[in-house]
Amino acid sequence: MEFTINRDDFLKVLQRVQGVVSIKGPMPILANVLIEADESGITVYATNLDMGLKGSYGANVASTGSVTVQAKKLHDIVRELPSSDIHLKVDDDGRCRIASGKSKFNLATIDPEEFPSFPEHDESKLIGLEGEMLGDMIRKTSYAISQDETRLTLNGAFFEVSPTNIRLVATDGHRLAFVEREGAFGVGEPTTFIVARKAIQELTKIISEIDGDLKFLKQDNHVIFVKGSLRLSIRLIDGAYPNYEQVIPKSSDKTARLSANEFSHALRRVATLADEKSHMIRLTFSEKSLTLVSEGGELGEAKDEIPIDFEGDEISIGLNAQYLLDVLGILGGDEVVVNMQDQLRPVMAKTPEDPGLLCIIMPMRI
Amino acid sequence: MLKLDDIIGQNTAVKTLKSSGRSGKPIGAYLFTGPEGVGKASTALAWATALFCDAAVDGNACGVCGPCRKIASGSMPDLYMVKPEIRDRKTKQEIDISHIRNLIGRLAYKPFEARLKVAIMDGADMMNKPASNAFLKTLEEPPGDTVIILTAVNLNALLPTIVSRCRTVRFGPVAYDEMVGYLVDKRGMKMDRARVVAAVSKGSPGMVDSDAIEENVETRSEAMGLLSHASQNPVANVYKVASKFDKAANKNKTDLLLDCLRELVRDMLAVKTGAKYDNLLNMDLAAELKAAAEKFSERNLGRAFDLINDMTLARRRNISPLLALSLLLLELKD
Repeated sequence: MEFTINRDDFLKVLQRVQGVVSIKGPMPILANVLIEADESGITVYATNLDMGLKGSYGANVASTGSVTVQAKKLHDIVRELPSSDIHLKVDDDGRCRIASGKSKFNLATIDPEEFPSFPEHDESKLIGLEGEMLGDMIRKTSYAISQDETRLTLNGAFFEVSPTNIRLVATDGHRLAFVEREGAFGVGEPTTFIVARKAIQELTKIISEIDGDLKFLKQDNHVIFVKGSLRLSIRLIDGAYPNYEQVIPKSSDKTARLSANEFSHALRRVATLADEKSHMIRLTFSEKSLTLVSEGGELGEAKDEIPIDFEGDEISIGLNAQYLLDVLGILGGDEVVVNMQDQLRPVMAKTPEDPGLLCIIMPMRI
Repeated sequence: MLKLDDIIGQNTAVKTLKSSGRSGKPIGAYLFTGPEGVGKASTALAWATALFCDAAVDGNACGVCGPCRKIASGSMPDLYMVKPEIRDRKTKQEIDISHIRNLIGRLAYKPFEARLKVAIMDGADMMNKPASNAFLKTLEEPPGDTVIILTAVNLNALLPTIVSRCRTVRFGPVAYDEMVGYLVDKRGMKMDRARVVAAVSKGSPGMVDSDAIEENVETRSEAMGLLSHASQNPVANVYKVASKFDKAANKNKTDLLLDCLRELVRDMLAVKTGAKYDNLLNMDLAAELKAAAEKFSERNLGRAFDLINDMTLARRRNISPLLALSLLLLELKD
C-alpha cells in the first residue's frame, strides 16, 4: 500500500478519530487506526467497539492495500510535520514508512485482518434525517441523561422512530426530558434504541462539524449515522428503557403561566440560600403570585415573589432549583407554562414556542 | 485451540456443559469449582469458544471459523476476561470493585458482532467484598444474551449470595490412570516418569508444567527415605536428619515434607489394612509402600498419622521444624 496525502487534510482526519480509539483496552489493536487505500482514495476507521468512526478521503493512491498503526503516534507524527505532502507506504516487512521532506518514520503495524469490521449495513436502507433538527433534539434532552452507573439503561438517550414522528427521551429518575418532532421518516415500522451518553456526544460533534446530509439505520445491535463521507457506528445499550409515558402527566388542574426571565432571576436569587445538597426551594403558586422560599438552615432564609397567571387551587411544592434553571435554559422563549397536580406528582414545564418539548421534574417532600 | 472433548478427566462437568449448550442459549451465570489446575479455566474457554463457534458439533468448536480464530488470537470483541491483579499499593492479587464496574459497563452493551456475550472470571474467589456485592445484581439478572462463567478453588471464599446465584459445575482431580494416559499419549512422557508425575501432581494437569513438580518429587522421595529407615534410625541420626530442615529457607520445605509424610503414612495404613491399590494416593510407589509398611505396626502408623497432623497445626503456630521433625521421627522409631 502506498499513497500521498496533504498533511493538513490527513491531520484533520486523524484528529477526528482520536476520540474513539481505545488506548488501554484488552485488545491492543483497538489503539490502532485502520487505513485502507483503493483507487478512489483512503478510508480511515477507528473503533473502541462501543463507537466506530469511518471516513473516506481523497488521496493520491499509488498502490492499494490496508494497514493498522497506532492512532495516537500517527496523529502526533503528522501534527509535528510541516504543511506539505505526506507519503505513506507499507513495506513487505510489515513496517509502515512515513516520509515528508527529510523527515522519515517507520511504525510497527498489526495485521488488518484482526481489526474489528465496521458493522455491515445495507446502503439503500439508510433513512434521511434532518441533522439540524436531530442536533436540536439532542441538545434539548441530553442534560437529563443519568450519570448514575448502576442503572445503565438510563445512561443513554432513548430514540423512538416511527414513520410519522421521532421522539427522544432522557431521564435520571428525578427529571425527564422528552422531545417529539413530526415528519415523514422512511422507517417501515417503529423502531426504538438506546444510545449511550458518550456516543451522543460524538454524534453531536459530527452533526455540527461535518457537512452533508444526515442518514441513519438501525442494524442488529448497532445504529449507524452517516454524515457526508463520515460514518459513525454506535453499539446500542442492552436492556429495556423504562416506560417513560407513565411519568408524563396526562392532565393537570393547576396551570401557571409566567415570564421565563423573571422566574429565572427570582430562582437564582432564592437559590443562593437553598440547601447545598438538595438545592430545594419551596414554591407556592397562588392566584396572582408565585412565592419562592429557601430555608438554608443555620445560614438563613430567602424569599421572593413574582406575578403569575394561575388557574387552580393554591399549591406549595418543593423543587430542585438547579433542575428548574436547567429546564428554563432548555425551554428558551419568553413564557413558560407549568402544569401541576399535587405536591408529590411530577411537575411539567413547557413553552408555547415548542409544543413538542416537555420537561418533567419530580417534586421533593416539604 | 482447545475443544471440550480435549478436556481430560472431567466427564461429568463436560457432559453438563454440553447439555446446557444443546438447549439453545445457555444464558446465565455458571460457577466452576474444583482444585487448582484441574482444567476449570481451560474448560471455560473451550466452552465459550463452542458457544461463539459458527459450526460447533456437540459442544466442540470447529477451530477454523471466524469466531474461533478470533478467540484464538485474543481479538473476540464479545468475550470478556477478568483476572485478579495486584492493584495500587495492595500486596495481594484481587478482583476489586473497579474490575466489576468495568465488566458491568461492558456487559451493558449489546454484543458487538456475535450472538451472545461471554464473560469469564478466572479466580472469582479472589473477589473482595465490595466487588462481590457490586456483582450480585448482574449475576442475578445477567443482561440479555450473556453467559457469565466464574471459576473458584475455594468456595468458602465466595459470598454465599454469589454461589446461590450461579449454576455450580464441579471439577474433581483427574483419576490416576487417566492422568498417566494423558501424560504418555499427549505429552510424550515415558511410562515411569508419567506414573511419578501423575501421582505427584495429584490429578491436576495444570501442575504438570510447574516447577513445583520437581520439588514435590524430591521431597516425596526424601519423605519416603525417612519412613523406610525410620525404624532403624539411631537417636543421634534423628537429630541429624531433622536439623537438615531447620533453616529459614526450608520453612516451606518442612510443610511440604509434612504433607508428603501424611500422604505416605496414609497410604501405608491403607496397604496394611488391605485397601485396594487404586485407592492409593501414591500409586507409583505401591510396591515400596507395601515393603515399608511391613516395618511398622498398624498402631504405630496411626499414631504417626495423628502426630503429623498435630505437627502441621503446630507449624502454623511457628513450632521449629527441628522440634517438629525430631518428635515425629522418635515416635516412628518406637
